[in-house]
Amino acid sequence: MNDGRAVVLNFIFTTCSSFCPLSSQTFSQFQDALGADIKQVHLMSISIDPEEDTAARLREYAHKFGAGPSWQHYTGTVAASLAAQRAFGAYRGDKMSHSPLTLMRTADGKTWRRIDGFATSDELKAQYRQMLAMK
Amino acid sequence: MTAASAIHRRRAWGTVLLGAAVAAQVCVGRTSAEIPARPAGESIYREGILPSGQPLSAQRDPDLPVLAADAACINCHRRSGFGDIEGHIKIPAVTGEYLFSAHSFRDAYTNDTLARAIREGVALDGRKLNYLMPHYALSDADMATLIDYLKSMTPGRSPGVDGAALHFATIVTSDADPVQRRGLLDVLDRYFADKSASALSGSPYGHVSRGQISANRRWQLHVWDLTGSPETWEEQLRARLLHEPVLAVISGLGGKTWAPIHRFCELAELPCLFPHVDLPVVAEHDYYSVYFSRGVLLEAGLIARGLMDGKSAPGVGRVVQIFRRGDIGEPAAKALSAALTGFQVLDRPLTEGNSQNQGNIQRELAAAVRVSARDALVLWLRPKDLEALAGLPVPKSRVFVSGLMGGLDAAPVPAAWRAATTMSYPLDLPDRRVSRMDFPRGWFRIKRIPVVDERVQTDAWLACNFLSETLDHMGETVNRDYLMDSLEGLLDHALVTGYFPRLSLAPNQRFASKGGYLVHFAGAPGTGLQADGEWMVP
Repeated sequence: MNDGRAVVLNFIFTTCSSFCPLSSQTFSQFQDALGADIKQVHLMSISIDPEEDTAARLREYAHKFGAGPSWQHYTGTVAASLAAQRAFGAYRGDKMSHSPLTLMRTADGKTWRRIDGFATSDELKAQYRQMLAMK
Repeated sequence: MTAASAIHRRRAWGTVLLGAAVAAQVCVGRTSAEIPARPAGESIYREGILPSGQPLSAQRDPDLPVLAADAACINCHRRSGFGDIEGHIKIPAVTGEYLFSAHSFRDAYTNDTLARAIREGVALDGRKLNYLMPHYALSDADMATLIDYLKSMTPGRSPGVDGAALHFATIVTSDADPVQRRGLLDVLDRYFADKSASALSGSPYGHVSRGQISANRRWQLHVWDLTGSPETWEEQLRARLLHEPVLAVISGLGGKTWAPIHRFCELAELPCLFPHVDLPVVAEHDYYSVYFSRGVLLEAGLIARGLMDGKSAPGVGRVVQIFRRGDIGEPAAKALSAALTGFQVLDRPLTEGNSQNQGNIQRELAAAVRVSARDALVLWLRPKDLEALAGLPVPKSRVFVSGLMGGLDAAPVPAAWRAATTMSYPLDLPDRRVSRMDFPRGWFRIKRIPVVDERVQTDAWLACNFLSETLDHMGETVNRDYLMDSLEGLLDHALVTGYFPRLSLAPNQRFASKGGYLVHFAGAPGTGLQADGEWMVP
């Protein structure tokens, strides 16, 4: 995460059929909209159902949404996923109580911006550009 | 429609869902004229396929297209049509009865206003619907087909619910262990008696909760003991369901195969909740059966992980598997072969049935367990076969034993073999589950239930708890599909999970516990179990 790139992060699980696909579709559009600038960004999607979301399942999910090399999907132990959710104030008790959330940071040591609710790719792009301008 | 014709119709629909192989099996003797078509609106709702065969298409504001299965209504409104709660978003019910009735917060929808909501995302009062609701491109004819389907989703009284009782069945196969059967029924009988007593006497506060069908009806258990060979079980189940309509199958006990019961429940659209089976049916798109875990198939995954990461058995080149033909170790061995890459796998099946005398078993095993130091030996064997290993030379190779088949902590692996043995253990470790097990153990003690098989009885008690909590959540709407949808959402909240560290379901998730341990025998006489590493999810 601290490799010098900006980070744009969300939480998903692959058997979520309501808003995770929408969040992932938005990330996909954001990835495409950034063009060559995507190389300066690390898109992270962290599973909140890591036992079901094995690496193979996540790969399949990432492929479905056209994730390129800058967009990585993460799974691990339940404890690691919970720690990540708690660190970002995203933990809601269980996976079925989750809410749409995007977090954004332009570089190591910079402040995170929290976007609760649905954000379109245009909104993500605008927020990202604005944060870069504040550098 | 009678229950018999309902099942007949469900069977026919199921053939479409389950594919050609099963279709051929269940449609023997039927002509195609007897198979009614599925309602066209159901394909739009569940699969995102229009009657023309074209994919359903929609757009989310401002510019997010969704297509086919991704656009299907079922994704958010669920199979039952009763909606869901996702975080702080309430996804409303879309059943005809709900949409076309007036409520305190809105008027009744009409066909026209509903079509506008579906096409333009505009509610009755002119407000925009939630961002999550796509705007659908549907012709007038397709819209009418979909709305007809929504109207058909209005539930009548569900089978198995009458004025006085909620009826449930439990299924015990003819090859199930009779001692386990008694233990299971002791738990179910007592749980049902307690539920019925509280329903009849009302709540401790002197009144019965309003709006909860489950609160003022007794629970009636029907024990469906299957007899004879598995080929006859589906027919037996059809007859039982016809004479004893039930809302769901709860718990249950299997032996070598559960496939006929799984298939029957899927075709009859009958929920089958948490039977105690070590070889469940893995069918990705089936809906009506949920299991605690993949059982021996999960163990195959754990052993594969242990072999492939090299820690449990370094330097292994060949894997030799021993199982009895016709027992659940056979498909487990097949699953392990499929999961292994980079190993030669040799299967050494034993004759079917293990009722021979100890001398014969030992002679058969003596030949089978002959391996070299660079092999790993995998034993998919029951306790009687494990006992017969005593006296046989201990192999120089690493030995893997199926915990579920061998008896877990009580597996009679001979003392001399224990140092070489690794056991797959798809449950929480004994010392880590102690506090969670206080709840069922306390219940067994207070209710004076003889504990003859703690795991079977705990599974039965847990299944009843989950059913009870789900029914409480469902309020007035007691409907089979809503039962399944609600259970999926509620299970994550469960704090008391018996032998499992946690349980979780979701749409398309039908196995609630996903992982396990590899363990070895530790301690002086080799009785205690110690994990080789952390909980693994293969």
